[in-house]
Amino acid sequence: MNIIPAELNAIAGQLQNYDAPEQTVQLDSNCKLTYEILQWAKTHPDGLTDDRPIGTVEISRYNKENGAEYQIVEKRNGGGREIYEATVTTARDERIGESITNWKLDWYQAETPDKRLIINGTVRESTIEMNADKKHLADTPISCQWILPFALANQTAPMDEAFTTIDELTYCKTDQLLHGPAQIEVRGQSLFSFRHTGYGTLPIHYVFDSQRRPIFVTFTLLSWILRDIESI
Amino acid sequence: MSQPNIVFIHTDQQHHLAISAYGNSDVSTPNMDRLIAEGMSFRQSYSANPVCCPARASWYTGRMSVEHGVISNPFPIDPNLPDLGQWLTAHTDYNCIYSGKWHVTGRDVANSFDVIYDRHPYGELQDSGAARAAAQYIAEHANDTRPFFLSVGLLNPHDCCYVCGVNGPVGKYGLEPQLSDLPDLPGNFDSVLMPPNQKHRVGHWSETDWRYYIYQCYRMVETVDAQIGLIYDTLENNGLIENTLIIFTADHGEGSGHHRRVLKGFFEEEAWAVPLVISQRGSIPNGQNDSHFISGVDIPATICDYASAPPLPETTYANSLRPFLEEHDDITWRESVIGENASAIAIRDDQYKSILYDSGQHTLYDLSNDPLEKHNLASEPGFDDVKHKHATHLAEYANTVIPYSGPDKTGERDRIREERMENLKQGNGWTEEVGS
Repeated sequence: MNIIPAELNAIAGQLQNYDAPEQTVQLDSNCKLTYEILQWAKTHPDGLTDDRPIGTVEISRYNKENGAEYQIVEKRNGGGREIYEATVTTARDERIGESITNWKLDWYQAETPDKRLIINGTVRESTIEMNADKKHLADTPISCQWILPFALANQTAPMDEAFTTIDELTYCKTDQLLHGPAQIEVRGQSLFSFRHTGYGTLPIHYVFDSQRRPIFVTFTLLSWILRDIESI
Repeated sequence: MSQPNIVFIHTDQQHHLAISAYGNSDVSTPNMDRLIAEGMSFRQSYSANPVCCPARASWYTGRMSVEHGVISNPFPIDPNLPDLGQWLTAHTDYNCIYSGKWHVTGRDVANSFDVIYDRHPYGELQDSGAARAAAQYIAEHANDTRPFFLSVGLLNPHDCCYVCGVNGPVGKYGLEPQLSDLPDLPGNFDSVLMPPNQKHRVGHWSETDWRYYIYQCYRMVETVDAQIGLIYDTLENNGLIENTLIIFTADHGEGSGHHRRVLKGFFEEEAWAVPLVISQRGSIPNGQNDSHFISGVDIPATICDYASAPPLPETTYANSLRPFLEEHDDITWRESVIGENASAIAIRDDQYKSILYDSGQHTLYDLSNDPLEKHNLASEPGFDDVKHKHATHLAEYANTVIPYSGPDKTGERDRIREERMENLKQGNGWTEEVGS
């Protein structure tokens, strides 16, 4: 019988033997998270799943005055062997912890490293500019899937905050909502999760353990599971 | 004016009304809406065959399924047929570029296009990269003197196949009670046409399960909408939007709970009808064509026309849409549209739709009075004229197409050519029902 919470259905098989890293660090310090990216492959009649590792994501956070800088490297096999290299600057935001102020994404495929899509983003007075051309209005805080694990780590009060996400620092999506935290139980362990919904977003869950470490991020067919956490 | 660039963006398995500009308040598609606001919507557009591979084979050859041989996904395409990439390369100066899902059985896309991003079986892993690769290509080649034909195969909302159990259930079942904004069930939800092969997958679903399924379909549509936005913005930011013909459509629709079905492969509107929008800022008038019946094979004919290429060879059913886009006054056009798959052939006109199954079961809908297709009139008296008219159109069709006659391991294509098409030629499509 599948007693896995809905949030973790796609990695039900992985949960059987998952051991979180031993280290604990405060996510508002200089630190680095390393996730393995899993792709759901098959669900068995007992509800357990097979998942296929398809990449890694490393997110390094450095405290800055009134905010933070993040350095991100994600490598994953989709239609191509894709590499995302990004730098993101955030400012503290009382509504969502941190809100993006600037970023640079350098995306390419491993087979064609000379063909790069570079997106420079800036937020000025509630306007998001991408490559100095495209402008999106955003009068809500701005985040993305690489920043939210940190921004939500110290969030304990119920949330119903509208925000804008820059998915993969490429796709601007307004009218996003965060719900939670909600408590869930896995193998006798209490976890808490935030649910992210909105335009163009199948529910995403950010799942934290009792030490407030974001150990799982589940999309739909894709999931991240925490493999390392360290101070830097 | 120089030859326009042509960007052909196709989604996979998108219900034709899963677009906010068409009045659907359960989905938000600002980027599709932007194309619609700038271009021409064809609101009576139909897949040549509402399954992935056959529909795509028709897009790239201009031929119907019975002609190119891909009657359903496993059947390989006639290897001798040229496809759009090969044709434009041979006859024009276009750079032919492909990003994302291809899925034409039996043909390697790399033999037809320059591939800039390969396909992956899941949209969640493919589409963002396919759109980014397209954007990268557009930006890099914005100043080229040669035009490009860029085909972008976005896979979603096709991932809905994996949340309804085609390959084992995945997703977040059990989550539904936490969501407060699930869409309502469609008006024909209780007119059940669920086929046996779907019963074990979705027959046990609660109404909330169905509503969650539809919710997910809409979120996937929105995801590809954002990706379309990246491509559009890149064209605009690089000064190409006025010299680029953008064609947006889907290979087929999606059950989405209509008739309590998921997926595709049938001829009720939810699976057969597709969105189709063509835009080019400053050249194509904004408008909506809701009176002419469009087939998927008309898209390659239109692309050849705009690329100043000769029509794809021996196409029998395809017509360029350019006269509509240039607002010609004297357009002669088909009075009905025909689709076919491995088990049936369908025809619809401005009021009626006939679906003739090879098994002998037939369906007749009066779409003017029953747009949700809740009442099968096949056995009702008083429709002999409609049946006769449809049988006549189908006979003309069967006498016009050039059926695939190559190797046929399963015999299915031989059967369709020798039994279905011969039967239609004799005007026998409706004979059993008319006489019964």
